[in-house]
Amino acid sequence: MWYIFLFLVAGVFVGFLFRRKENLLLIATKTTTLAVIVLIFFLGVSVGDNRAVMSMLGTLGWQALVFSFGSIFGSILLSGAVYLLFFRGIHEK
Amino acid sequence: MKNSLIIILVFIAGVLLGTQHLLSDFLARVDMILYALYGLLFLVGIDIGSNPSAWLTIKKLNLKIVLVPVSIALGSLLGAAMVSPFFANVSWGDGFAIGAGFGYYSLSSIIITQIKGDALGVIALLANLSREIFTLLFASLLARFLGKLAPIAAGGATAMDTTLPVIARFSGKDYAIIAFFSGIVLTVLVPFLVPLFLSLG
Repeated sequence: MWYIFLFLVAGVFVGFLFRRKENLLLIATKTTTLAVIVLIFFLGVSVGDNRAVMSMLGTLGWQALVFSFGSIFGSILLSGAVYLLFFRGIHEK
Repeated sequence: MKNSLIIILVFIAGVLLGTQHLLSDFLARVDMILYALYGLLFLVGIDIGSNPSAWLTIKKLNLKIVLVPVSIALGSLLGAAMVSPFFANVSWGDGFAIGAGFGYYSLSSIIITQIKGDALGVIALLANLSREIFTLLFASLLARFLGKLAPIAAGGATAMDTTLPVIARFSGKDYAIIAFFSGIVLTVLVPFLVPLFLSLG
């Protein structure tokens, strides 16, 4: 797991050092998009190949929806409190 | 919406190929996905480090605005942790990790799959992807009935790019700036928080 932070922090340093090299950064952005698509594809392959996961795909999808609603609801609730306390009336025009 | 459709299609194409079990040996033998994840994290880091607006917003820190991503992050984590006891296959730490995706479905699901396996990765992918789709579809209702911050909260990390247009339209221009700031903060937090919560259990 430490490798995850290592690569991430190394990237932040390199990105900061090269922050004015726009051509290089454009390449990095395009490579990121490509890497995401390739990784999501192999995530799919790995899921499709995994018989145990495939047999419970419906359950996992349903659980995902519950998690989605849980986190959306929680974040709307807490940010709603922040809105009522600090924002209402200030940004309204 | 276009991007989430592409991701869904690519994922489904992968699943279909996977069910043919043509690449089973390849998947077992090659740790390619792990190396690709390290590469992706390096690139994500470059994106964060080189982003002038990320550094500028940090310089202009305003406590009131900082409360927006902080409350969204906490609410998201607590909301996900509250539903995880209903599922025997998801520990509370795993629930936190799914919530810590903040809608950044690609990175969070890839990290979770690599550390905790396919099943949890699928939940993380679909949970965070549906968060983005939900925001795109319901931003107008959220802004009208639950306050101007509600679409920003629902969008989470995506409020800086994919859901920013609908937020700007329904919450207004003033809130678009807050949405962008909140989205950046949450996006930067994802690669740090997700592995952290996974390691907790």
